[in-house]
Amino acid sequence: MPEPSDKLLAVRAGEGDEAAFELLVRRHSGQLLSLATRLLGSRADAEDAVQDAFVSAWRRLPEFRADAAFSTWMYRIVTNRCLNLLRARRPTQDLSTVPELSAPEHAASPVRAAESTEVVRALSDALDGLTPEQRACWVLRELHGLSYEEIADVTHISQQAVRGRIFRARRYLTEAMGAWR
Amino acid sequence: MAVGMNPGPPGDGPDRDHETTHPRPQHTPDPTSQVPETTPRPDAGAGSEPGSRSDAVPDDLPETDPEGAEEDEILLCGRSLSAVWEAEEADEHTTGCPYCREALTGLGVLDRYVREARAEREPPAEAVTARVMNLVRTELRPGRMLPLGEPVDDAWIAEVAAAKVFRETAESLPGVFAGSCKVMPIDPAAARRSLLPGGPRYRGPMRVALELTAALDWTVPELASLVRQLIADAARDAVGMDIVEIDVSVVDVLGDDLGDALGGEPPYSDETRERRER
Repeated sequence: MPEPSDKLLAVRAGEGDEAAFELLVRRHSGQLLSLATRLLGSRADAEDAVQDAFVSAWRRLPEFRADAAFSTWMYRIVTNRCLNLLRARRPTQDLSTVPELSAPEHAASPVRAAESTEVVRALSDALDGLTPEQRACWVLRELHGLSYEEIADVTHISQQAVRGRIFRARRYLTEAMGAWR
Repeated sequence: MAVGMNPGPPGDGPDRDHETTHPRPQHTPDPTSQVPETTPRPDAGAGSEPGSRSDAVPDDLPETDPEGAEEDEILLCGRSLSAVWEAEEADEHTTGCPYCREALTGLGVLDRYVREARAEREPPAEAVTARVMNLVRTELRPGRMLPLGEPVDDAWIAEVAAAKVFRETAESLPGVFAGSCKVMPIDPAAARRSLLPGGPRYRGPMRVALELTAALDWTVPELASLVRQLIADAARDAVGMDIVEIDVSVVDVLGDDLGDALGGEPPYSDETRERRER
């Protein structure tokens, strides 16, 4: 059974068809929630970020150019929102308290504890050691399979800069994850 | 793990859009330093055993190199670490080179974690979807107000509601999806004015502009003709609207990837057309 394309649904949603928009939300919310959770390290924050991103998309859809892929557009809105949240978090944290701050997150989140394997939690902890920009590029590339070109589009930087960030993230993570062997 | 890989605060080269003092649990020697280490220490890669690597850049190189490649490392075999990691497949050199193999082994450890993380199920999103749609329904965009029936009736319908009827009418045909559907006064000036919030409402003949995505077994003329007729009927009988012009355009083909993959049957056979018209 063929499904209507994202492009068609986005045009309809732009004209005020909220049922078309609901189909788009259902189609993409799981993937975007995964992305936001990987970027923010918190399911609750991720749900807020994805919700805000979709509401923002609904308001902006009348101006959305349908030649851009809706999914790339949503990746961009969610990634930007997460980056802003991560950047806002950092100056308020005392450097020496960061590891302790991140630990109770896992303890206090039974959902996450139940659904994440030990390995994935270890990776999530290691991701906390990256800058927000490196984390975004690495997660988009390795966990969501975006091309360098798509990541450059999503994060508004050059492909060269994307490569640099991913390289540095890999170098840090190979060391950090190697230490857990 | 190669001894030359100091994971130290991974400075971010090409742009200056963030703080450079990044917290580094366990690895940062001086967490209060304002100038993070951005390159591996020279002494760390000085060994000669496989897996050691020399450092390509001096410690004092600024981390915001515009090219973004300032932190790459050159392995003792001469290849750069980033090139080895980015290569899709191992070549003849990589296969036989202990330095390249060591670099790839380091990445392989990470790959195990990546595979597990990718295999994780997507989190349930029903709650988020419901919250989003509750908010969206407080911010509906109904479009123009369009006249129904006779002037004396003073009855109106939102464009979004009329478009919904016309899209559903078109989609009652198999292999057809409706995209953009605009319903507006046939007079262009009145159509523009009718978009203004709080402006005078226009009463008069209307036109519909509908875009379709259709399966390959429709021909454009037969589909357009059929949809025009169905919409004219629906406008008269179901909505009660004076529609005098109906533009139908087929802007996309439904499932063309599938059609190509199957090798494609003759799409416009007489048999197909006959069946559609029954």
